[in-house]
Amino acid sequence: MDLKGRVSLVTGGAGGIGVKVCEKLAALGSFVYVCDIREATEFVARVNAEYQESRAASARCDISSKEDVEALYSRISQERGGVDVLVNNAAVYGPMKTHRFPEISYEDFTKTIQVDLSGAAYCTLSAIPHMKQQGWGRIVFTAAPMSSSGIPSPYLAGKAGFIGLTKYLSRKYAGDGISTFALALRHVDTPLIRKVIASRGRDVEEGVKAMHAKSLTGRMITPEEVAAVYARFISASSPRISGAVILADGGITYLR
Amino acid sequence: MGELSADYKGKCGIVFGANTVIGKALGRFLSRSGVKLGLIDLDSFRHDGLAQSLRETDARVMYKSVSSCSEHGIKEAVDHIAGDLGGLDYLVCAYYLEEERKRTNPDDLALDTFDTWLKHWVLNYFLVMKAAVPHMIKRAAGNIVFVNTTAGYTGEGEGEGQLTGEWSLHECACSSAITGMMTSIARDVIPKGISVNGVSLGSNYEEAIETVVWAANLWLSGACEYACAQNLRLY
Repeated sequence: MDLKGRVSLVTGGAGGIGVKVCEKLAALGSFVYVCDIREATEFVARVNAEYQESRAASARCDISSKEDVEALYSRISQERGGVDVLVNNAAVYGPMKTHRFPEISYEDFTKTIQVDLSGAAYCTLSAIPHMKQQGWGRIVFTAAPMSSSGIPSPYLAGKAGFIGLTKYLSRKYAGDGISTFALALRHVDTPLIRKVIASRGRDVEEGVKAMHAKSLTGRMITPEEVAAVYARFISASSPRISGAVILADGGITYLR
Repeated sequence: MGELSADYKGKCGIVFGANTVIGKALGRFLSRSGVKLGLIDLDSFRHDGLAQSLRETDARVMYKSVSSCSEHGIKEAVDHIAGDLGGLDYLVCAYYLEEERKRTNPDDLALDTFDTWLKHWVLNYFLVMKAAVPHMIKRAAGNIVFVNTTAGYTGEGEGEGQLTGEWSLHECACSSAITGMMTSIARDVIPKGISVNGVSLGSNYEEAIETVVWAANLWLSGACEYACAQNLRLY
């Protein structure tokens, strides 16, 4: 597996799954833009020191803003030519307290879906021309199973939207060397899931323990494991490996 | 369709997107079945021909047009219809797919085009649901149908003609987003006695109108009253 010379953009790259994906892609030789709503200066400094070369850059961006995304792609185009590997990983959960329907407000719904779905669509649409031109590209989505329960409607709408994107991209751009796939994840041990548990007034450690127990594997998925799967797909050389939406939930969706 | 016939007489329903091919077919079906009907269109597709033709059959029909993504306007229209007709039992969300497809070049990678699809489809569905569901909660009953396409499942569409053609990235993303939204909302409202299910059409849906009406009737009639967030895919 070698991504030397490839340029990656990881949204939501400064925390949770994203930071592990950035580490993994940098370890494989890719130059990584760590895209997040906040700067990832410390992380970037650590990575560049570790490899003793420029291997990562902080890319502060609000992906729900078209202007921000256009500015980011313009910067990457000037600095590195374009994005070869796009990991659409950023997401916000939406309102913690009033996320049930019909209590959820229109404002909260739009704010959430604009990050979770529009942001990924903007990044994807902006990435395609360069990938198509060079005849190589990888687009990855951190999705969620459509059958997930208890998840706010804008969050699930956004995550489910990735499934349509994955299917479409794999068919439309199969001949252009662009491969795409999505992991439909549940029960990954991230700071976000801990925040959700806390918002429900539960003890976080107890809540996490219960989620470990609920999985048929006896434990939650780790961000490192997700990053390892992403790396494997991104590095795959066969153009046939595209369009897959893999359910990764420890068996809870269908077996419970 | 006889085996699924429900007692629709005297019930109240809204068809959002009444001027779409599917909206018209479902509007006619519900009206002929005795449902007091509210038809809602977006301003840009305003056309009350269906309402007029149904009124000629002595059906009780109201017509409203609203601005796309106007939270206030959509709520006002739904409240007015529910108030005037005496409540709300059914909601059909039908989308202006044929119009949107005509306007979209499948190779269009403009970010604004995605926004248009998201607003006209996903956000309008959300708003009409948000306006309608409180009326159903009052009665602890209601049946809702989302009209969708199979684009979000397959990522492909083929065919030629006014209503079909190649599907776009925008449509595929929004189609599966609708399914996700429907799933989440259905689970939130089923404890309140409200069912939310879907009908997803393949690209040649011009030929499938009768089947769509059959499928919508399946969900609206309560024949599968325990179904929650099911999507009948008509390939």
